[in-house]
Amino acid sequence: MDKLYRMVRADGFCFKLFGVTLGVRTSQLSSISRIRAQLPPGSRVTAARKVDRLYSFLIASNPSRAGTHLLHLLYVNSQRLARTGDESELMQIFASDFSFHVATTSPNRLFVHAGVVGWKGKAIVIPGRSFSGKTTLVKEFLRQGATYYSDDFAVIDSRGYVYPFIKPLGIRDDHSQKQASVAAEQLGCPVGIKPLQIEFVLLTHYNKTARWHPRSVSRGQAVLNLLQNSFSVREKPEVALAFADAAVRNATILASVRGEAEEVVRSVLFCSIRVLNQDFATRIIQPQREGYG
Amino acid sequence: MGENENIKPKRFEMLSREVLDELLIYDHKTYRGHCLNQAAALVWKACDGKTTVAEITRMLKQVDPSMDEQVVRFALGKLKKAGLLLDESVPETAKISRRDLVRRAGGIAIIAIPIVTSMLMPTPARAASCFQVLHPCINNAQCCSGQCVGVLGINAVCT
Repeated sequence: MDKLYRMVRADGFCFKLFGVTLGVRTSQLSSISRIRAQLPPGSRVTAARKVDRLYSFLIASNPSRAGTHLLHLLYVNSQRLARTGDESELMQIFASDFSFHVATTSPNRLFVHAGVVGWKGKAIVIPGRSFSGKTTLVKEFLRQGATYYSDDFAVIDSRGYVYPFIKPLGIRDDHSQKQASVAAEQLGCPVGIKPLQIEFVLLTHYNKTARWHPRSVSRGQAVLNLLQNSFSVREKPEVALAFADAAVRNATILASVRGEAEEVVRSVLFCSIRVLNQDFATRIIQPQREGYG
Repeated sequence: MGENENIKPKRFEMLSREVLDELLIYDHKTYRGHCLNQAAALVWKACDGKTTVAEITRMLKQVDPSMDEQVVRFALGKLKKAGLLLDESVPETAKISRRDLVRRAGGIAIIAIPIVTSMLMPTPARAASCFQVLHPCINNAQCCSGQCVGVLGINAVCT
């Protein structure tokens, strides 16, 4: 660790994300801006002296001799995490690792593996395992004008509000199934800032031959489904149960296998407008009733 | 039947939370989450190691008149299968199927049919979209880095 410290003491900083403090240090001053670019909105640079996890970047400088390979190294605490010649790959591994660490250890948020979009001031959450088609649905929602919140994590607080966790969408190649990163800005969609209450939870997965015939699911079943995709349920089941329950308290939960994403998105957005109109009507009617009573 | 019908739940090892009329239970040992509908929750709560099946039926009839001994035994069978009762305390369960219960109830009291849904809660790595560095893998698509190195399927890890 001391040797590593001597090698990477050019510069560094600490940042806090959802209650987890992380440290970064690097061997090259110029790389700091590129490292900071990986931090999602909501992360705060702090002057903390103690960190939960320390990342050390050893960025290779130009080779003095021709034919020498440039290899960048990334350590987490004292363990090597990556060794690659491609700096952007190094940054991706860093982003992926700290996101995962925050998701599993955040003391004040529940992280659920889900896609999240905002629609008319409310959130639509699509929990699901890998290859269930979450990103395709998120992409389609964005195409229809929704606000981007997250492609990977639904970050839920004790009130059940969901926070943005902005990072590039991981769109899989149909052939190789390898994920390629596409920034939300590239899709031309707005990006969420404020936490939102959840209006819809969609429990679905893709099947080429299926049609979207949603059925309503009980709140208990929805909580169980959220927990099945959460990162910390085994470590903090009490917190996870409470947060997941709060998240679905006012939500409509729809479950069905789905075919094409467009069909689902149109149906949900149509349903959402109806719910919003009902809400609006109740809000107007309510005071009058009280007045007459 | 009769004397050995005092049913004990594994209540002390589990975490439970009421969500409307359902009951969510988390088992720390098996990492399983269970969702009990109202009927199943009523039966589970009545299992305290002292009450017999007949007494449970009598108690539940006061809450829901459509409950009878067949339904209670059916619920006990479901709870036992989910691992929510201490095995040695469970009496002979009903040989009746859910379809028979629905048929017998004539479709009126479907709410009274006990339902227990169980799910295995994942490890953090299982919940993630892709595996982190050094996690065992089978193919490249599983790794965040897109690189699963080693003899694929045997001792391969994401790099």
